[in-house]
Amino acid sequence: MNFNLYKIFGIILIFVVWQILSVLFHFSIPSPFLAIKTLMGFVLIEEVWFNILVTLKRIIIGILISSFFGLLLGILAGINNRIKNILEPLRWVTMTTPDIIIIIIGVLVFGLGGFPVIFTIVVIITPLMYVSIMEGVRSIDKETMEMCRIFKVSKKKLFMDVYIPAISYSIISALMYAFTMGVRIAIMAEFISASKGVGNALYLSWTYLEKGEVFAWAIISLILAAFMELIILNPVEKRLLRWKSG
Amino acid sequence: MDDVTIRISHVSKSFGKLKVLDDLNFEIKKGERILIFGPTGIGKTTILKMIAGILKADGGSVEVKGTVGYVFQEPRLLPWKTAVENINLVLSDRKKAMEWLEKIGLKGFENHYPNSLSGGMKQKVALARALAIEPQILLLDEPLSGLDFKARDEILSLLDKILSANRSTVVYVTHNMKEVSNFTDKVLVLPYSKKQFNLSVKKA
Repeated sequence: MNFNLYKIFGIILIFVVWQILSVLFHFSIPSPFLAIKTLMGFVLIEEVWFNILVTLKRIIIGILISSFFGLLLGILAGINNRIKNILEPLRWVTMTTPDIIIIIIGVLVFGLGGFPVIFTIVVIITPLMYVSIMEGVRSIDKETMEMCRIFKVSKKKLFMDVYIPAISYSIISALMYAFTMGVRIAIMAEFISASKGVGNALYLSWTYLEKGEVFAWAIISLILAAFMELIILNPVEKRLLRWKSG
Repeated sequence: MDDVTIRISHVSKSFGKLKVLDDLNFEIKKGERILIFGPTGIGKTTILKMIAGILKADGGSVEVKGTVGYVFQEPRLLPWKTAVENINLVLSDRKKAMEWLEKIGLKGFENHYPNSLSGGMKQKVALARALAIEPQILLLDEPLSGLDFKARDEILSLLDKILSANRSTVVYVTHNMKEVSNFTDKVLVLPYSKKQFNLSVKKA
């Protein structure tokens, strides 16, 4: 059995377990068939697409801001211990504070709407990106840095031609995590604070006890994460690791 | 410093409790090719790093006149850069980087990444990178170790040809004197005993 067949088997297994659970808890869990039927019905509803686009926009903006700060601060902290020590308490606070508290702070600062959603994504994902990038910079071998010092490689080249490619694995794994986390955080934040987006639609379905819709939105959130990985991450990965193929 | 390019005066260096160099003295004149010979761990690379300015002596002084190019034991190419980009890293002039690639006989390999080049080819690119900055002083740290005889001869004769034209001062470090006996003018022998540091300079 090849690798892809194992994957298909894994997906079938999820649906089988889901079906069993829907029989056992039929008041709360819909069958996979009902969820997929509802999802098919969603395709023709304009408002569904609008909500998906709103959430997608928020996630992308949030991840772009997080990537900028995570990359910048991660590189600085990776090459300078003082900067790392200054940022350490902030990293600890942002990574330890429960997500729900960050959402509440976002709502208190920005009010209800899209801003607290972006704020929550940035506050939660930036430190994750920062740690991953910082560790990547610290793992650059000393020999490479020695060579750059001897040949007096300019700071611009050091940043663009040495640091960024050397930490490409860290960037990709951080982005992969950021996309899946971004979807989860955005939907949770929208559930609480927004009047548009997938999270808000999920909130409405939940309020009206539309269990088929709740699970259809859950599938949409998975599709969203897969879509971003495919459309954004794969080209980035190809660009950063093109040298691997020789 | 007159025509002296490198002057090492009473230099000492320790790493923790290990004293690697003690009261080292020597001079190298402009255009000279000197071979520093000695067993592994005696401090040969330490001397090169001090000349290159990336390692400080604990005592004494290291005076260097001119720009320094360095070829390491391993090529130290950036794996994500092509052959020409690796040379251009120290230049910012792609045309010139291409010219150097041609000079070392790697025309046609400019867009190859290091993982698709042989050991000898990689070391040639590293050599081109060091020569491309047109250094007054070229430091070679066992650049041929790990290469087969054919690649060694090829690189040495290439190096000899290029250096004969530009009269760079060369400091070549090795633990295998036979490797470059006809390439250098003088040999500096680093013995095991570091307290009585004997400097032996003779014609190769």
